[in-house]
Amino acid sequence: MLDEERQQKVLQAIYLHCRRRGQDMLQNLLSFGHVLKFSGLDVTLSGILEAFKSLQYIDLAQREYFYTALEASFVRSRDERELFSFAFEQFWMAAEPGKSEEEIHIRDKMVFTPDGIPGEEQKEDYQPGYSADPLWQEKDFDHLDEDEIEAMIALVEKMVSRLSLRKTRRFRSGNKGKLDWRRTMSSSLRSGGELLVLKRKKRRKKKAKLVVLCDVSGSMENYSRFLLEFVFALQKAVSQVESFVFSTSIAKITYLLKQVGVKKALQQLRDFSFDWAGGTNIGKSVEEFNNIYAPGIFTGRTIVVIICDGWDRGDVTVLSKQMAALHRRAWKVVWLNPLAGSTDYEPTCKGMIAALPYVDIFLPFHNFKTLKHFGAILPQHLHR
Amino acid sequence: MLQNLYPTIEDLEQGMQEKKYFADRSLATVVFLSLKMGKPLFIEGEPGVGKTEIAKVLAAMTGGRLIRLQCYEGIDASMALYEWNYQKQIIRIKMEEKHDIGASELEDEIFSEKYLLKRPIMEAVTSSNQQPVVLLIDEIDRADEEFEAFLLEALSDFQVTIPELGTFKSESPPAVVITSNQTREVHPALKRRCFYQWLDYPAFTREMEIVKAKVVGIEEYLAGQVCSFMQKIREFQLVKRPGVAETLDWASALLALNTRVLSKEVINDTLGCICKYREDQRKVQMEMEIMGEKVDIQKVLEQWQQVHG
Repeated sequence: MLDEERQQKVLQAIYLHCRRRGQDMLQNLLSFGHVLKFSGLDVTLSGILEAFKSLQYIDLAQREYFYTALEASFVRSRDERELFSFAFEQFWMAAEPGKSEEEIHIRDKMVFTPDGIPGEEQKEDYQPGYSADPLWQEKDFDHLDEDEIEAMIALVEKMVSRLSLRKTRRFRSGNKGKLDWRRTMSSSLRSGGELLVLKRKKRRKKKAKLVVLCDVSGSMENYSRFLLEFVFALQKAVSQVESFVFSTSIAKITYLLKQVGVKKALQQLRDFSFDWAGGTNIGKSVEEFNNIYAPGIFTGRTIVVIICDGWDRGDVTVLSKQMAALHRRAWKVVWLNPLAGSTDYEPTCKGMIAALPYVDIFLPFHNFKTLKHFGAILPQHLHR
Repeated sequence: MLQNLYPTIEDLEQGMQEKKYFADRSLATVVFLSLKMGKPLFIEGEPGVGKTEIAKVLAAMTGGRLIRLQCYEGIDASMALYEWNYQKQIIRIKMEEKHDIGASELEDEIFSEKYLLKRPIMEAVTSSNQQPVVLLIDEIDRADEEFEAFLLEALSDFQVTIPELGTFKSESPPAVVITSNQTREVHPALKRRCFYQWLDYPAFTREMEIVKAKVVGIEEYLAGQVCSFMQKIREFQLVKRPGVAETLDWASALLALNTRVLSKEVINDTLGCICKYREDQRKVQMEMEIMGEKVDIQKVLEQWQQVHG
């Protein structure tokens, strides 16, 4: 089921661009395209025209074919299908009502904001101009309200996708790949200019794997929603990301996130009484990670990112030992700490102190600015 | 050529079924449109769900050729397009040192088609002029954005220019199927060029059809049990949910073991066919303990009612 907010958005869009009596198919399709675009799908004018073209090959009277043809043209991912389905139902409802009838029908369903009917004042692409605002960039994550979180997430996704996470362009010698003329010629000198051996070069493609362990216990409660969105965005943009959450024990959520997204994943974790608001036992969680999950994960270069404030109720010696073990196996250990924001931060909690010797990169992580910083550093380490 | 063979969607569905591919109406429609309009088909879905199969079936249906470009991390344009056979060229040059062919004659020779290593896309372009071709670009999500951009260009003209040889154009462009396992988001520009379809795990009845068609000799009852177990298992939180390929493997294995009825012991013994991760196997075993056998059989009977009742 599509959630309330998105349903409302679609309905708003339909109110603005509804079907009208007397319009032909193309015009209706254009309106429908607008509706989808307003609702967040990637729709272009040429896309609408292509969709229109495709309709000539199917029996329009059959709703099933009509639906599929449009879906194939407008939907670009699994997640978008639900939204499309809802929008389709609402837009191409049974008979061709007159505008007034339809208007009423839609109005019944809509929730009016205190300002009245959402109208043309509503911009098509609702993009708060936050990204440029330095104050907003420095606003602490746990002080964001729901709208701000949404906006922040959109920014994060954009940022993550723009990270230059491509392969390097550097080459190295090998037996496969393009011909390396330079080395071929210089090695031929040995045989008096006779080209005996062909040297090749292939692109250096050392891409590291990312493993994220995110603390979702009591002290991190305000950050957890947001952090998971960040982790999820990473998961989508970088191949080979494994995501975990922990408090007094650890759980792997890579697949869960993929399946249901962040909100529902958090809900599920809460429902299954994953120890939420209790204290943290970092040592035990890392121990579980090392024993259960690590064997399958450390194939090749792996960067482990721990997002945690360092507050720990468990046994410090265990924490030390487990962090040491982790550090030995991981290529790099990164620790992102939401408390490390102030310039005079000194890790005084014993958990953080115990873990610090085994951390290669220690960064604050409490607002957009610090997030960008992490994002800037990440590519360098992913490709070495 | 391909597009005229099946005048309606129903015909196409029929044709696919004859090749033992059971597509639902939605997929058949999208394949149909893709063929008619000459737009590539972009199929996303979990592993083991039949994405690659479609391309194979399409090729079989037309008696044409299936050319496969398997994407991997680090693939670049030259691996997809063409490369000169340097070794052969160098050997040729060496051989000519004794004789006195002119330089330009030699050059013409070593830059001829004999010395060209045609990679899948080029192969598709040139072959399509002789026979129907289905070009399968498998697991595009393993390649990078750069490669996607290259692909975008290649797919728009179906024309390859080799400086030494000239331009090769396809008169009747191949049908293109692109698959992705969704390990990362593929750039929208590529998706815009295609018709999109998300392939889900089949529902019970469809999976039954597939099993009965492909595992020859299996009994209805066992097939039913297998399928309903698979349906159940896919609801669990597994590291890797088993696909149709696993269902078929399992069914074949059970048949080979002369199993008539599923039981906890049999399932435990053959779990390796479905779950390839120890974590998953343990999870399934745990769930089975909780579920108990009774539930399974009841469910099977229920499903059976649905199918036959």
